[in-house]
Amino acid sequence: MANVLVLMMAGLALTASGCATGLDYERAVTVHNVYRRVLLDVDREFTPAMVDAEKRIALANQKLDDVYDAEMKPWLAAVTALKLARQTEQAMHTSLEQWQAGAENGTVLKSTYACASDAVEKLSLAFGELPDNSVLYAASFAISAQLRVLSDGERCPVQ
Amino acid sequence: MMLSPLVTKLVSVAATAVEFVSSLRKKPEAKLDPPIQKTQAEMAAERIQARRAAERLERDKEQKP
Repeated sequence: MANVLVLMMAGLALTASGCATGLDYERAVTVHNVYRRVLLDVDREFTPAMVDAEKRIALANQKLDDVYDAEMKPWLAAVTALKLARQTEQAMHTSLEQWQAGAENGTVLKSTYACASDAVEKLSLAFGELPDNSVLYAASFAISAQLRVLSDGERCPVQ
Repeated sequence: MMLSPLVTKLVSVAATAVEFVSSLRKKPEAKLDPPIQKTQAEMAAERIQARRAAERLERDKEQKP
């Protein structure tokens, strides 16, 4: 009887240590908040640059729709990538709220971090097609690394 | 039936361990910032595309009276 109880205690201790070394809520929230702030900073840098570029492109190509569309394409692709990143931030927020409410969603949360990391990589690629993108590049790479660590080997189910 | 002191102690320790695990999962003191509803870039792109579409429509009307 005592042996069985000792085994039970060992099981509980292992469960506790597993939780302690797994995804930590505080850390997950901190990275979410940093991710959100980085996206807002990137948005603040990117938007006026896009608006200025569009004015120049529109002025130079008032009746040349094909040229206008071609020159605007990388800017609009970057907007789409930023939108995707923003949507992953919302998904992450929802998962964290569910976790705080007591749901067993550690795995779901890890995959949302993986999706966010993928989205940031796509954002970096989109910014790479734009002129003068060094500030945006640095911000997105820094957060991508943190998101990848928190995803803990999980992959984003949506490709 | 009386439980032996060892069993009582083990049950008590087990309850503490369960409480500890729950506390690891639920930490309400961490402040979760609200999600971003829409980026400035998305709104600006929508305005740009709407304006450009209106300009194209206007030009098409001028070309086909």
